[in-house]
Amino acid sequence: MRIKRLTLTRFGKFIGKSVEIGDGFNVIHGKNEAGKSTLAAFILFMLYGMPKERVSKGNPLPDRERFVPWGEDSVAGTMEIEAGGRDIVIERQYKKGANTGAKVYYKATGEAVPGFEGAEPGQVLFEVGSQAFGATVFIRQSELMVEDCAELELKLRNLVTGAEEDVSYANAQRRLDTARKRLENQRGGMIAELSKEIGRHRESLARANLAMEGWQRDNERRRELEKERDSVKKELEALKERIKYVRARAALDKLESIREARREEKRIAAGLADVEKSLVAGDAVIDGQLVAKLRQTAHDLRLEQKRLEMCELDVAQSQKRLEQLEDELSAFGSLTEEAEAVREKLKTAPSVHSRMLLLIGSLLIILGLFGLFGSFLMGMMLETILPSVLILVGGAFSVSLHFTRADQNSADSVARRYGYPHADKLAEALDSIQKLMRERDAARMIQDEARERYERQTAVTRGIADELALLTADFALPKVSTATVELLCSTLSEKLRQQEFYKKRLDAVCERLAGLLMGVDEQALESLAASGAAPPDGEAGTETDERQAEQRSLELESHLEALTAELAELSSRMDSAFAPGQSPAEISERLETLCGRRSRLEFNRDALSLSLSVLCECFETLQMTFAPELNRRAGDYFASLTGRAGRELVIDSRSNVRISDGSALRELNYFSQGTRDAAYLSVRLAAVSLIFTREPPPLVFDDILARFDPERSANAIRMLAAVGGLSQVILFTCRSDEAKAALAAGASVIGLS
Amino acid sequence: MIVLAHLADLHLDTPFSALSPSDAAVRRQELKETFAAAVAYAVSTGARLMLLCGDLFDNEYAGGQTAAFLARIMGEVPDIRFFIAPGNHDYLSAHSVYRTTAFPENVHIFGGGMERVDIPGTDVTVYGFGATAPQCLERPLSGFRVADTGRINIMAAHMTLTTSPHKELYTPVTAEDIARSGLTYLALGHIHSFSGIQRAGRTFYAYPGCPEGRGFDECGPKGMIAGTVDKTGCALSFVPLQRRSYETVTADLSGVSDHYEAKARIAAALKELSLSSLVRVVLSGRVKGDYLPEPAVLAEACGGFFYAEITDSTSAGPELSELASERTLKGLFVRRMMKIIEKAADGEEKRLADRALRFGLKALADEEVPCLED
Repeated sequence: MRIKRLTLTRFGKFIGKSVEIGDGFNVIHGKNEAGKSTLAAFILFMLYGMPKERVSKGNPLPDRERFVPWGEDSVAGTMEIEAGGRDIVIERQYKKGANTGAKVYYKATGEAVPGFEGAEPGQVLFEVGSQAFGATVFIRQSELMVEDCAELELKLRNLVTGAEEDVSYANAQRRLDTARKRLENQRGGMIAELSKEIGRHRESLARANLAMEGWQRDNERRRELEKERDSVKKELEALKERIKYVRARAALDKLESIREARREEKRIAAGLADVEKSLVAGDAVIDGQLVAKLRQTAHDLRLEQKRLEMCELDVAQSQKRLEQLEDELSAFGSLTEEAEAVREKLKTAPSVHSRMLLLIGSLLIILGLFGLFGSFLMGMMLETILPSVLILVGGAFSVSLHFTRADQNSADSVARRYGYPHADKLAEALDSIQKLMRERDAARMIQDEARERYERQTAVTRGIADELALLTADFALPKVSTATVELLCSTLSEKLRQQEFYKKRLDAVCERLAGLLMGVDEQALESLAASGAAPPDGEAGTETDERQAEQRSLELESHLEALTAELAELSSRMDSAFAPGQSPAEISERLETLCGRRSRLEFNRDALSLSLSVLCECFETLQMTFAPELNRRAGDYFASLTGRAGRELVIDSRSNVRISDGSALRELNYFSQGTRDAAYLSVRLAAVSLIFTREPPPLVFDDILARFDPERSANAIRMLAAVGGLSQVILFTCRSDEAKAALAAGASVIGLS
Repeated sequence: MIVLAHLADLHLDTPFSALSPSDAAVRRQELKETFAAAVAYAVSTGARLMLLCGDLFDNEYAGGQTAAFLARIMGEVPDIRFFIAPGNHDYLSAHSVYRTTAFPENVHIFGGGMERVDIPGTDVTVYGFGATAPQCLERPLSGFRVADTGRINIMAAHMTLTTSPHKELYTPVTAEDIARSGLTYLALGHIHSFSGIQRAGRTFYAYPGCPEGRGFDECGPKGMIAGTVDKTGCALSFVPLQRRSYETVTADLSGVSDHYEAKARIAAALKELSLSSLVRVVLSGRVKGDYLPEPAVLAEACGGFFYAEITDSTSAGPELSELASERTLKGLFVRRMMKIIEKAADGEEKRLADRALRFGLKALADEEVPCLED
């Protein structure tokens, strides 16, 4: 293919610019910024469209922004080419954001060229992408200006091995291999490291499973302990309830006792108050002393009254006696008055023996009676009855005789005068009278004394009575008497006793209450009493029960403490059985994740291995097919370019470019710059010819001679002219001497003004 | 009629090892809070029953502290009767937390065999059974009939609904088993997504799903079922509960050629999501050329989310087909790799080859081949 005309409708700095390019060697000459690079970019644009990425390495702006003219929003142009023996026009427009395809049509007929629909013209024409085209067809200053032989050799080797000087099989192979080794190395490789980590995880899992067995045992033990703890707690709770109940009951009892004590205190105090109220007489408070005094006074009074009575009795008795004596004396009648005289008479009077008769007669009577009774008893009736009767008669006779003879005696007569049967009797009577008179005198004396005593006693008694009356003035007694006073005293004593009783009771109650209240918080006690619920078994507890319950409670609390401690230790051990993330399930899941990751790395490794193997195959294929032909063509080109016989370009088995000078195969640095340039160009051209089998593209040399010295430059122009004989060559240059030299070498020079 | 709440598969004490230790601890705490929220909701509706149908705990070694927390929550609502049917994750082993924790009186834990509990003062009977092993192939509902069809018969169980009862599934149950049971409502657990209220014969049944997602296979709304059940039917509905959701979003990186644009696409895909979510961003599409998304670099676009991960499912762009025509090493490499991709037996092989292609192009461009851990 060759380019015939470029028409830049709108591209870069050019508006409506048209450039005719001839066959063979063409030079487009223009100063810096004249638009040479623009033209090169235009050629690429027409063949491959506007690239997104940067085309020129040295340019920070992508071409799509660099070559849109200011004030415009699109670029457009046409390129006329000759391909396949026909003139074809490629017409293209690009607007930002809308990369439209190219229109390709025959110039003569305007018909669309088949095969170009929806494809880039360059791709269709050359079967090469834009990158490869650019890398192959365009030869830039920097590429030819390779001073360093090693770099040149590398480029040449790349060309030989890959047909692209920027594509190095060796580098590619190395990169793939490095990436694969990064994954695959037994030491330090990612897969190996991951496998080690997986191995460690598997070991951790085994350990974790083992620890899990221990954990399970601990778990079972914990369950047992928890059951036991719950049971102990339950029992403890019941005990505490019981204790609470017992204490509540005790508290309640105590409260009741306190309340009862208070009630009693109140009652007693009321009673005491009543009693004390009643122990007030006027302004005075009645006390024991007063009552004692009253009692004593009453007693004294009674005593005195009794004495008075006694005196009165004495008086009465003495009076009575006196009267009695008087009566007795009066009974003797006148004898009483004449007693002394009579006595005198009797003294002189004879004694009588009639009494003897009386005596004998009495004895006979008695005897007779005994005999009578005895005969009856002994049945001796006849022998004894008669004598007995005789005795009896005899006695009777004596007695009667006595009585008939009595009055014949003078004493007796005196006696009989005074009414006494005999003098004895009279004497007795006189004695009696005498006695009676003495008694009467005595009685009179006694009576007088008694009266005197009575008087005295009456005074005393009155005094005491007055005293008593005074003492009882406030008591409003209806009658002040010993009885009433004694009754009063009894009453008062009773009240005093009651008072004393109440006081004692009160003291006792207060003491008891004090004892009950000592150290007691009544409010707390009431709360405690209110808190106690009845025990579940309904049994009221006793103090003994409480003690036993407390004892048991202590034991249980101790046991509970031990259980809790053991549980805590167990739980702590269980909690720390696995470090965070170290349980079997977590390790298993992590293992799965790691294995997944390893699978992915192995996938990438396999992809790298595949890539390497295919690349190697391709390289070997190229070595077998491409390299020999490249070698041949490059040799031909070299021969043409150098025109020097005896020099042959050779590509050895290691894809190194060497030149044989006839005697030996030498490295490039053995030769001059010009020879090296020729070798480069030869290989490059050979590669181009092999790559572009369909339509050989033009070769575009963009200002490649700028830094060449004159000799090299001249050599290069000569070579380019020679290449121009094989293919269309377009040289962009800013140097006039190069343009002239090229013109002299037969090039078509196009000036860019 | 009875008001009830139905919850399952809470999986308390899940390790959440994919998260950082601190985030995992947060998530575990959130599971507990979700349970408390479920109970609070049940209280607010006047529920009398709460059916916990299995996998309440993630494993049989769940922490005693978690169990004590549950016991405390349940004990605080004595008006609600809790029925727990242990599942295949928290089965009734000898060391099960169900055996070693003192649950309050209003909690009934079903044992190994079918049990029946009549609710006093109601005409409600609750049946249930618990798992005693992590695997069970028996069909407890096969041949089961309620004792008294005149009552409201409810069952709580951890089972797998299936049409193929002979497959090795955990405690399988079929729709026919359900229809013949005579139950009014069958509260199920084991499947982690809400099934909707289903009916088999005269029996209603449902899976509430898990109340909190725990992985990216549990996206979408999560919660429990609540409502009323009576002899004629039920009025039950799904109640969302989850505090955080797992979200999987796709960020289309078609035509993207650099990390900058990729981040913008990712940010756009995440725009509508709550920052409290756990997100997985799946990168899809055909990137431009050989662009290789690096999740470690792109993670910046997911900043602010509780948890985010990026999975690359992109493939090389169509532009590479241009390279395939080049007679260069690169062109040859691309041609060969594309053939391998084309011939790949499955998606995984395709993905491997695509990755190899992009690795190779990176290397040929003399760029560092990234170490991807997506």
